[in-house]
Amino acid sequence: MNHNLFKNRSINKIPFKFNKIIKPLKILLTNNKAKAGFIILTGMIIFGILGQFFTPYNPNKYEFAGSMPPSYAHILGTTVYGQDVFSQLFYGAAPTLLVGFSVGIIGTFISIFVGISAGFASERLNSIVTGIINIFLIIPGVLLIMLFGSYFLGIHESLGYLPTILILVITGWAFGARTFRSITLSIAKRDFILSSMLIGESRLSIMFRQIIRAIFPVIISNFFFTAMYGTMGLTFVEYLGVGNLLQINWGTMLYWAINNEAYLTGLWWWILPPSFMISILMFSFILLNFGMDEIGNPSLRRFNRKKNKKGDINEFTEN
Amino acid sequence: MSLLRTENLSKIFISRRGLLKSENITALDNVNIELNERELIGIVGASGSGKSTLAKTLVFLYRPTSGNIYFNDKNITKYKSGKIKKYRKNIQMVFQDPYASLDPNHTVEWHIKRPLVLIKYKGNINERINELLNMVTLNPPEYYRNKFPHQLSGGQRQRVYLARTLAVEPKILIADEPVSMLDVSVRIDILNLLKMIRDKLNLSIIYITHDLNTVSMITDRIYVMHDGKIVEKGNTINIIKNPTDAYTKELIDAAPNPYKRI
Repeated sequence: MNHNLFKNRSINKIPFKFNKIIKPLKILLTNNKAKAGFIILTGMIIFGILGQFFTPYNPNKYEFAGSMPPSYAHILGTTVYGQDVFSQLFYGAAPTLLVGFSVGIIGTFISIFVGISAGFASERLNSIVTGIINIFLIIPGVLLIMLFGSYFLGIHESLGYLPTILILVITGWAFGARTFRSITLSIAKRDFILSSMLIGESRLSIMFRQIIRAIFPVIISNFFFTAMYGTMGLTFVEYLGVGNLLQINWGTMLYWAINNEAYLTGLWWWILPPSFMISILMFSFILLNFGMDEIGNPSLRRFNRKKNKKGDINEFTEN
Repeated sequence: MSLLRTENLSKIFISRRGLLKSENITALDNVNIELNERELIGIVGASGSGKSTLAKTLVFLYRPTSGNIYFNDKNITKYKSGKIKKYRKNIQMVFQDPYASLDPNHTVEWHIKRPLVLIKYKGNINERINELLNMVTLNPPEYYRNKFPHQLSGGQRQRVYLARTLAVEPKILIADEPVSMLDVSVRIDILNLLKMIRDKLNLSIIYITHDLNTVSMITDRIYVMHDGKIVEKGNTINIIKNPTDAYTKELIDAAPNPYKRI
């Protein structure tokens, strides 16, 4: 009697898979903070991509009069050297975002791998890996980059983006690994993992099929934290002047602005925009993280009263 | 010839208290049990008497401190990971809490498909899943296949779990308090299912419980455990009618009886 119903359902299999991506996003976007974060971040990414193709002027050329205040020709004025500030801001968005995201992605991958295998391995391996994680946890990342940067300056080479990303990843993965290790330790003792071991699943398969899925919200949240660390790290390094100063990103903009005492000579249009953009970017990461908390922990979810009356609530109370 | 046998099996947990102090907790103390083919035995005891430890030791989730385990009269106590995997194809365990033993992120279908893939099932896996779901009386199977555990009731979850263990085609099934989390009306269904499985598939079942009522319904023989020791063993009906050990008498008196008032 129910058979027709099920046949229809199996036909709709492809949209069901598509749903798996859409549904968490929907939960994420019911939260106003996360929605704001998502919109800001998407805006930033579009801003960064557009900046690579259309800048009003060449961001690197010294072709205008210096220290011009904002006008129609130059929305954000010019620098002391006569560069267009808006072009620099526009063009410098992509590298800043890219470094942040690649540090986030690579760092999260390493911490997933190390953290989960430590939490799921034998006790002895666990304590060894925990020791290693703890050592990496206390390495101060920015100091290490300054050290490398000064070395590169000393041999008259500049620190490119790739070494910066590498160093930030090396110093930034440990925090996430530590988190994943403790969560894995608790999940590995639950009955559904023991059951998989009994039916003969390999440890690798349990890790990929079950544990990673169980801790997925934490992984996303950790990604945003690491990406934040990456963006901050890049900005800080460039601001301190140990990076390659010919590259244009928000960090180097700050470096030149502060080196030319923009805050004393009243060139606010030079120093404020990059600081503002960096703060907004950080802010969007933090807002998204709040939303992720609510995906991972249903008890934090607050329900919209209006939706309650309509009866839509079932969609969000499932867990 | 016995299928599964333990010989002076002991398990001591060391719990650390501070840096230097440690305390030994004897969970199993020279336990000797024997399971014959096509037999349904019960292990009864109060909580903390070591029943679950015994179950987990038998499937090598714990290593015994001393003593031996024999499977088909072969000593398997010292088996390492590869051989344990092979051994586990013969012995499966049903957990106490059906709300924790199914992965919340996967569907019913996945839970039954994985063991079939792992034992390299020769026939049509799709049909086999339906067959297993039918066997545990989840009808129609298509209705349940795409459900997630949180969409099922406790009894249905326990059935799904039973189907998962049966997919491995084991010779022995250890049921560790499989009905203690379920309400009374569902209990009988699951117990009937266990009995039916024993009769149809020729499995041997170790039924672990604290509940003397259910144990007397289905088991052939029982072992009574107290503080990690076997205090009494024998035919179920004999023991329930004429308990010799003081602890068994206590257990029988404590069993709920609708006609008794405190």
